[in-house]
Amino acid sequence: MSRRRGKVCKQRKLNIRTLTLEYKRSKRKVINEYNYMDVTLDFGEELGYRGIPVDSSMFVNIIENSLKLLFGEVGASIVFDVVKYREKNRRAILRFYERDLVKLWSSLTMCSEVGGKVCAFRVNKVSQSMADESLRYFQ
Amino acid sequence: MVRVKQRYFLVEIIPSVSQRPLLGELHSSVNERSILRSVRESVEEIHGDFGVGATQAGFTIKMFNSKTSVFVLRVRRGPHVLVASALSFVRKIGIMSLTLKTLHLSGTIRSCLKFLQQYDRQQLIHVLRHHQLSQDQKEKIHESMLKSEQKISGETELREEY
Repeated sequence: MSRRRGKVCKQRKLNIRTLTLEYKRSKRKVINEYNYMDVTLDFGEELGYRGIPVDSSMFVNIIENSLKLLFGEVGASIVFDVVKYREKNRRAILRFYERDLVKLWSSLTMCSEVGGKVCAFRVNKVSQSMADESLRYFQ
Repeated sequence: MVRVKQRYFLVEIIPSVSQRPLLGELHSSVNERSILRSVRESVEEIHGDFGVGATQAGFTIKMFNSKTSVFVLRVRRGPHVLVASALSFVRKIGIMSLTLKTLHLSGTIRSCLKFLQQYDRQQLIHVLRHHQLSQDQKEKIHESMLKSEQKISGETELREEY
């Protein structure tokens, strides 16, 4: 397991013209201690499926449970904060140590069901500073 | 294809104080299968689904000696770190409550068994010193030790001839 030099920031974008999802990828030389992730818990509302109301403590619980399921006690000990949460969109900004990026992202990927409803975590952006996160979704 | 590398853990089973047998054997519920099962459960507890998935390929017991309660566990080389940390959290195998003590970790079974030979010799001294043995038992042990020494020296004589 080699150490990556320079951290990767990814931004997810929907290309309206061609209707494809694109990731814009940039690499930084300076490594920050914390990374910030913009995530949405998606129940498929755009396609007509109905979701369940998720408040901030439940949101944290969902992520903690999926970390514990995939990575056990080691995963459960991963510390992360929810900096911002909007119940309406179920969209949050998470803060975590950059060494936990892979574990956190993979356990978000593996989370497929909440409260009996099928769901998915959409990672919109991962970056090294809060300044990169667009806060207009959270006002 | 690059060589598949393994790691071999030499582990001793130490029964808990209340159940410690005096020079006795382990409970019959402790066998290769139950050891594998409890180590796997421990990996699942500590490292989750990822741990179990990573370690299950090539996860076997190569040697188990119930009389000296020692076994050799084989794991693939990368994920052996996960098993190493999970081994200390195993509390129960079958019906027995116990702890596992990792004696040696190596890349070949051969070096594990080599280490085991030296370890057994030290344990033998320890056992003889701390247990009351009848004259009969002492004579028997003395005989078998002489025999094994003769065997070794006999082998060296043969080699010298050639």
